[in-house]
Amino acid sequence: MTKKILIVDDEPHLRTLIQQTLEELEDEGVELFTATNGEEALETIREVQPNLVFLDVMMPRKNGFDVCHAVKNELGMTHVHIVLLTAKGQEFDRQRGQEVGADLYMTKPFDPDALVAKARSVLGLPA
Amino acid sequence: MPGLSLRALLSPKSGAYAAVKALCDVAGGDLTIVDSAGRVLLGADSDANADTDSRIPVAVDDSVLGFVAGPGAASAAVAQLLTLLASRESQQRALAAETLHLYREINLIEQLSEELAAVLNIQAVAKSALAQAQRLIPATHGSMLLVDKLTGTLRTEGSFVPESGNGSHSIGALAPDSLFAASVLDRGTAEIVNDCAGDPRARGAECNLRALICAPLRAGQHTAGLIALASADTEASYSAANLKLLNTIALQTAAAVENAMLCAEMVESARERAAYAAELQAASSVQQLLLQGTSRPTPGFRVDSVYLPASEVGGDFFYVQPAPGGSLLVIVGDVSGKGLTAAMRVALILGVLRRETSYDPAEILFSLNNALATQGQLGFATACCVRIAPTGEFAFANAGHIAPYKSCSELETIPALPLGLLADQSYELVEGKLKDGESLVLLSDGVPEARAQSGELFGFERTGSLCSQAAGEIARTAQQFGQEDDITVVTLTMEPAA
Repeated sequence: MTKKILIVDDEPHLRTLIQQTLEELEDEGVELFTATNGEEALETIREVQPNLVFLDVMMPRKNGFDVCHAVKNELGMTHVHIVLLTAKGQEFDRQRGQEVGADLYMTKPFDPDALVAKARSVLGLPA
Repeated sequence: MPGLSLRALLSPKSGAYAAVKALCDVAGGDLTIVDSAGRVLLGADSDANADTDSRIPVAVDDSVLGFVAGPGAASAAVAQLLTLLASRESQQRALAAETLHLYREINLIEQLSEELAAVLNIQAVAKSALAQAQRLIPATHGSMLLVDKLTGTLRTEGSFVPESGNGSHSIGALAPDSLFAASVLDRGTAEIVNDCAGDPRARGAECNLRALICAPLRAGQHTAGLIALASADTEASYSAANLKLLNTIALQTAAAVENAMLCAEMVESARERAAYAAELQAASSVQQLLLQGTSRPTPGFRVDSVYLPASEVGGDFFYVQPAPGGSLLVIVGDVSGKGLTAAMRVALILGVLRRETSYDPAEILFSLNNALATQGQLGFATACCVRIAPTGEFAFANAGHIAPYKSCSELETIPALPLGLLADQSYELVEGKLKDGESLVLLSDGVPEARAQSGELFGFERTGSLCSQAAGEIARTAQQFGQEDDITVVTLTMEPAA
């Protein structure tokens, strides 16, 4: 079964950066999807059932916390691994992330190597 | 440009797909777009690969991504559009790659900061700094060298070499005696050398290196050492960006090195303090033994002595020695200085007293004075020496010491220099007599010079008023008032004949 990663960010250049970082995984059969806001993210998650979501927090039309809460609690898709990716690094944001069920909280500027390593780990790909 | 392909550009998920598809439809649907491998990406799978001469290539930076086949003008227009889109995609990807490279640098430098903040060992600092530097800047060899504070020479604290290295240049990028290292240290600025073998400073194995980059470890105005990376790769070449990056690493490393050195100095200092405290404790034990050794049976007299040093070891001393004819010799003194030095002087004086053959107070002080004066560098001492006969008649000599008390009054003394200042100094005797039950009190200046927290001195008046008390009472009263110096009190009382 194809492994899928969804990249959610309202800023196009950041979507490009994350996409380009993860592009090496496409050679190993991973499919990359993108969404530009919270609602589109929820719709895509329902539709493509990604294994892993890199989810921006500050977005129009549903922020990342709300999307994460909806996926983990309302949709019951606890198997979807969600990594919150945000420019904010305050402790209360981390706590909020944990409260809504996020699996990991990474700050921007993200470490490209850590991003790929995380994806490989979640998707069960060789490091 | 890795990752740039017509397939990705024309993916149905991409924004370009709809525009190109629309253009192809307008052109009549006879167009076919294939990638560089000939796979059809859009349009009919017709003769696109057959007539290779009529295909219009889509190329970016001399790299052909694919072809557009079909009617001349339409295929040229679509190829032009695809070339434009691919070119923009290429630029975007280049920018993204550059940004990701910067992200990687920022994160590695942050990681280095965290690592360095957690280590207080110089070798661990060197290991972390070199490992992170190697991740950021391509290098086959690396070294971190620190300036030895005592000798001023460089010493290697960390290095790496290729795993498959044959042993040549196994010291890392630079040896401690490298001329490159010396010049970077001398100027205090970083340097790139992209042709090591051609540089007149290259020596020995350094000639096998192709490129070298070296930055000083500067903390404020002080240069603690340097960090160097080198590559033996024949194509290697370092850039100004590499230099800036190594300088950033060097700045963080220098701060960590300073912290590690400070920590090592503190540990060393604490160790020395502990060793000194142990020595003082040992000296204190020895001094107590020496002074206890001065207590002898004193028939006909009652002698009480109290010695309260202000620290572990003191500079006061006393000595009690039976003399011929049932007489008794008592000496109380105070050497200059504090701590172990003063304790050594006390030991010397007690040694001289034990070897002394005279029982005359003036002669004894004469001997002591010469012993101290001829030794040199031993400072000086004050002392008062009394000889008392069973009849109660006494004679004493005083070398700059506080006068003895009799019946709560200071006895008149003849002024004389303390011991050890001038050789062959003579001391004169003062005579007197104690009645039965009367006491002579010899003490050190720690009693009258005791000082309360308010700054008030204990003083001679209080001292005099206490002199009818036992030695312990006098000493403890002064101590409780506010001890600032060693306190010694010796009381000498005539015991009534049985």
